[in-house]
Amino acid sequence: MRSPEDAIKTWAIGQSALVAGIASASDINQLQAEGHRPTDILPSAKSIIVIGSLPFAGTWKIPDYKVVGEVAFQCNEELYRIAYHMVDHIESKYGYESLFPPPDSIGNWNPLLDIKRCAEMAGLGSRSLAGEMILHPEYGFLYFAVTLTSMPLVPDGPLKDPVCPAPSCVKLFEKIGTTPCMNACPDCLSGKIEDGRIVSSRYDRNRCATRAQSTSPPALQRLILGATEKDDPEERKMLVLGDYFSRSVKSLSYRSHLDATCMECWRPCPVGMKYRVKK
Amino acid sequence: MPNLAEAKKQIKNFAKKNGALITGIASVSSIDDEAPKGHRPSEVLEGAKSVIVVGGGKINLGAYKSPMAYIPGYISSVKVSGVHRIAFKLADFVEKKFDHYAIFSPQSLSGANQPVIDDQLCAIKAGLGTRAIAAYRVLNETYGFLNYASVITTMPLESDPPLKKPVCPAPECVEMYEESKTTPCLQVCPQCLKAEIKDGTIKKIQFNRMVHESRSQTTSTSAFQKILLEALNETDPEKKKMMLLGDFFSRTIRSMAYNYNLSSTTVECLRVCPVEQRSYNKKKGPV
Repeated sequence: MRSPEDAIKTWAIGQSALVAGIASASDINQLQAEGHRPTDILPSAKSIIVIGSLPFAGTWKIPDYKVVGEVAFQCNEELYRIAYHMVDHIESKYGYESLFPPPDSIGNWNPLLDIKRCAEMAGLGSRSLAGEMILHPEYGFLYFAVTLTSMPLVPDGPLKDPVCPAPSCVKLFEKIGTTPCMNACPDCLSGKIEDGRIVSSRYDRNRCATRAQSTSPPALQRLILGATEKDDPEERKMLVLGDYFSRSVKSLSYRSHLDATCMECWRPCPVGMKYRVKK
Repeated sequence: MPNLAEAKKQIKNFAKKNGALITGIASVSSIDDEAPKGHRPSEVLEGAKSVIVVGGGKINLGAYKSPMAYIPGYISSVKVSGVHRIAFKLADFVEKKFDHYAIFSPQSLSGANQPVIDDQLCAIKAGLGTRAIAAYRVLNETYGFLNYASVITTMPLESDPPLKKPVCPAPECVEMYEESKTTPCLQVCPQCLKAEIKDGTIKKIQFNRMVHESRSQTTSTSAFQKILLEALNETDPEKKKMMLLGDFFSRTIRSMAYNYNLSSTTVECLRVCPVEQRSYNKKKGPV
């Protein structure tokens, strides 16, 4: 007979998730700050089911990064939908409390629950030099969504060997002191590899956001502040009714281009490259 | 991989199974020829060959019957999301099944009110209908007015030809125009719409989006910007407070947050279209 862990993972994959894994809530509790622990969100949480999927391969063939962000964002939304349905599935089939934690930030850039940490602890990949995104050993970069549940499930646990750096990146770093991702964005990323392992990694989120999310909520906040500081009514009018302000407002209302990266550091990553190539 | 004719059949079947009422395919080059620079499918996806257009999300009869002006717009927004979801699934299907790059056409606006890709133009090129005088929307002979979404792909599918005979004006509209120089849609909204019909076909057509938007999308993003500007210009703190905490500004923000009344029309000009009326089951009563 199939274990409940297998049955839940098979259900998720049947719903079009590409991968599924399970993490222990208590393990994550120990690593997270107060207010960001699974049991802070669902006090009875025992397990975290993490699902992942790839963005469309076509996303990599879009020249405009703003459009890339929008298309990728929708892929994320689709995954949230599956995680949301999983709540119903577990509650109705197994009778355990379940919850889809809101994926948005609760303040500044801090998400309520660190989904990347959950994916790591569910054995779905490890941190990479590219924006500290989780790199899956087979598929490369994935989007993730989680479902918290009070159901006690056997966790998969983190991977034994880190996926990043890939062997070709180690060689490149030894030769020229960089990797394809760091080379693509030396301003946002820096890192050091020793004996084939990452020994230091830096991702400047604030810099990345100002470049990649140029019409996101912080951009609108900046624009509004700029408008209040204008003394000339004509200048203010041009700012508030202008194209850039309009795009920022529309971006907010159409929920596009809100939290994606430009993905340029993902693009040259050798892991999972074959899934990004189509005819 | 099946041959391209078989693939086209499978794509259309998939779209239908997922809720599309109609599906058509247009070549990227035919759209590129008409779309302005920056809005061509080949500029959105490198190597794009075809655009698959799905039509559906028809506004339901109950929404047309609601006396509240914002209800049809709200329902329409919900229906639009449904059609976009079909396109999303279809793009996934094309990539997984046929191993070609595919993306759904982005829904955001590239600036002001210009969509990145004109799904209506794609629908016309895919033979799903022709432009109507009413709000410049695409009119389908069987289904009337639908919402459209597109999938842009590198797959070289055989395209469906555009319709030879325009759906608009309907014969009764031509007759009405000959008698009284107007049509049901023009009559219902003479400020937004203007047109000229000659020998049974549209010779001139004008849809004033700016006038239209200020009437039908009263709590849209543009309204938000206008009120914000007024509030910033207001020197009296009490008045400013009333504006920013007032009902209209609140509705505008909620409209943005809940994603309704952002881009829909009032549907008044669609409601009176005889082709649209015929598209509903007559047993349910007139639109």
